[in-house]
Amino acid sequence: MKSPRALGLLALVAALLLWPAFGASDATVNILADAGLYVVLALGLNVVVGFAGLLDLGYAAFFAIGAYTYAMLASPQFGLHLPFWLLLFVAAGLAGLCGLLLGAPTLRLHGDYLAIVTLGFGEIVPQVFQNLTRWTGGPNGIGGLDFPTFFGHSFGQRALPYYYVTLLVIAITILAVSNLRASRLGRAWAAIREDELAARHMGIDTTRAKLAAFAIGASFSGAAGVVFAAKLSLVSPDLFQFQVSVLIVSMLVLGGMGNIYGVIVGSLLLSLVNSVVLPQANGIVNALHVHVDFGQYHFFLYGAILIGIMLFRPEGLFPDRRRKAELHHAAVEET
Amino acid sequence: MTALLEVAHLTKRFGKLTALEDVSLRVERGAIAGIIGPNGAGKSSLFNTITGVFAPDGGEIRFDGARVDGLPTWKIARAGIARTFQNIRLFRFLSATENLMAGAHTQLRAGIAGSLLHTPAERREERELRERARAMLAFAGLEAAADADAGSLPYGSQRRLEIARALMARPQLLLLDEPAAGMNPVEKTALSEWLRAIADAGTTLALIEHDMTLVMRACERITVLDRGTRIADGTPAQIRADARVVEAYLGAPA
Repeated sequence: MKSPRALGLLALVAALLLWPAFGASDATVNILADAGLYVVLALGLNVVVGFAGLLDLGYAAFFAIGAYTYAMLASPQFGLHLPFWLLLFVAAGLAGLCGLLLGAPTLRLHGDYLAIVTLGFGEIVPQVFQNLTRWTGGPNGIGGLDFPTFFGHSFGQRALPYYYVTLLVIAITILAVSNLRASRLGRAWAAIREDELAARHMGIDTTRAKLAAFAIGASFSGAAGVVFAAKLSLVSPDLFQFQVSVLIVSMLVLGGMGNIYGVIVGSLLLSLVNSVVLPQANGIVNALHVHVDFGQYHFFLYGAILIGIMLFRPEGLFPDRRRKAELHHAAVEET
Repeated sequence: MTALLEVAHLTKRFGKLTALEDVSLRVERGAIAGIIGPNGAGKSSLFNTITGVFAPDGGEIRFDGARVDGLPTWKIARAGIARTFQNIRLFRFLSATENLMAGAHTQLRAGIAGSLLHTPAERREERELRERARAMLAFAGLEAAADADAGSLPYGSQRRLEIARALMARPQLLLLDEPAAGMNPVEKTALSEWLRAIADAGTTLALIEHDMTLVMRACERITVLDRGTRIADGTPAQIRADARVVEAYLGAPA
């Protein structure tokens, strides 16, 4: 090993791989596997919002497309039982294609207008899955999805194999987005974010570059959807509502848009708050004979976090250097 | 032999305001062409129309023999026209080196797959690009600024960096919009020497400039615009002697 940094990374990877062997309960592993999927989602959305600067409020739609791809092609629904590993790529490609289809007519729009169109898309997709009852099982969704297999061993219902698959997907995602950031395309995105007109004068086809961001971001969401569906063994339209998109955007804002490590921290923090802190809070309050269901307060919590961040640290907890500078510059220009 | 840039009867209107009226202009290969005129004469509108920021309302623009009017800006840039801006438009929060690397966009081949996977070809290309950016910083006299945010550089350095960024695209034609604005006399002298070096290296230049000493010294041919029309075109000596030019700048003799 060459550097302390690489050594630290190695230690982290080893810890992530080995800790479940030391008597972790299935429930704990399950919580972390779920949190890991949000890391993938947040990193994928970060390509769109953080790198290319396009606000996408309907990102959960691509997650749904990935999940339904698995549900329809690996379940008794149509009697199709395609392998999980293949569908991981198929769903990524399909979600990317849907990203292109959504982006092509809409990416001429700027800022708020684009956000509204993507929000609409995010509403439409689960609605479509709900109404295509013959294919998608309607509001009940599709159940009894195939368990993935790995060289003949079924994943079954235990969380551990899904945890490892999620780690693998996270690793690939981190590698891909870090590569993108330091590439011709990544520079084109940075240029577009800072000065679109100047970017065009560099010969950058800005529409194409934005489309690429949309498609790439969407494909990570699609792959995450496959893991999500397989793990749950069930999909239904209500799993992909607007609040999922909002949650992922909140993760980016909290962690620090643009910065890969900030985004990871933000997504882990928020999903653990959801799955651990809020239920614990319920237990504590109920012990005091006050009946409040904190599970009902997700939105209140996201709102409070977003407002708090905007007030005290608009660049997020671990900001990207460039994004931070851009943000503060914009604030100065407005005053 | 056709000229590198041929603008013929170009017209551009904004509502009732006519920014350019029947403007014709030729820039020969290897030349340094000057475009001068009082404020509001339409000089920047001319550049913006040539680079496709505005679609012309009439006339033709030929670059290297092919029509480019009506093309989107990025295609015109790919055809080989680079430019700088009157109000500097660097990527302020990227380093000087990153600005130059972004400027070389058209010179690179890496597509989405190469960018995602960092293929060996992509790595080699990026390595060569960094090398070129370093050499360009030296050519622009900005070695010390390599890692500084572009927006934090002194004004004169920003002007030079913007020119260097445009050169990274290996343009055939470089349009410079007031490159000497805000520079002190020493910087201006250095700039005009540098522009000469750029032209000698094979890039054709067309520049808008208010500094007459610089224009007269650097340019072989000068076009004068006033209120959207071309009022003169010729060598510096001819322009200096032209009664209409003197009138446009100083007002009609009493």
